[in-house]
Amino acid sequence: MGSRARQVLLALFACASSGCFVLVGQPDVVVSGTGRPLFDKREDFFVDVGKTTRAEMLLQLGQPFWVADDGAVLVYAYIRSTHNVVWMIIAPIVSGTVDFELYLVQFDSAGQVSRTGFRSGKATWSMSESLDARRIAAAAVAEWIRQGAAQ
Amino acid sequence: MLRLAIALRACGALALFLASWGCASVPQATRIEGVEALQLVPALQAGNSREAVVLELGTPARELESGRILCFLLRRDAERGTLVPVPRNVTPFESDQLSWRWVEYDLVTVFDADGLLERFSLVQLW
Repeated sequence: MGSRARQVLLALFACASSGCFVLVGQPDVVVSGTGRPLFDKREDFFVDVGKTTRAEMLLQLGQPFWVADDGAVLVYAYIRSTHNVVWMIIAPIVSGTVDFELYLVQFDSAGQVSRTGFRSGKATWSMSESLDARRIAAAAVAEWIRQGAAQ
Repeated sequence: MLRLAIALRACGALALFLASWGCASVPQATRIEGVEALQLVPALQAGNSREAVVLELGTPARELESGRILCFLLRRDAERGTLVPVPRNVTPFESDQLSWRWVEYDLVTVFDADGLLERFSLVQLW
């Protein structure tokens, strides 16, 4: 193999591996209801089940996307690193579905964190029914609450 | 020639490291505290009543624990130099057409049992 070809191959390998590095290095970012990046879901977070209060969570994380079950559950969202921007643009056009990723925090009657969890799913996307994703995500939240009650 | 090749490889490795480092960290929004927060929202003076905060900032975007926690979505008023509430019909929670561009600040206020301001968190989003 000529040195020129070897240089091209090395350059391609460098580009490919740098892409992998970037993808692996990207955090799975949990975001607030206002779109503010909060923390990487793969890292330890300050939540102390049984101790952290609702006020502390809100002061730290800001407003959630939704408040479910009369304030017993705060719903934030997260963005998976595997969903790069190009795919997020193309996927709804190609498949007609959007992925949703939720970070959920449940509180007991004393206002302390009793449970946290992540939920993801798919929702049909259409121009006329932009609320479909919200409805299906709300159903996923309700299912998560039911699972907690059953435990 | 050998030195140049080594230098180029070192630069490449450094570039890859910086790229992965930059992407690995979650960007943090600016938290505003102290005097700066009071200049933007005078009602955030410790010990102020819930009524005083609502009178200045209007109806909260969210209300939890029977009004002990109030959340506001705010934007900067260029003329007054203070923060004002974003109209409810353009907030992400109230409208089907999400209008993030209006919301510049996220404020969470916590009151004590007597309805006096205990803690707050004011974050500049953009």
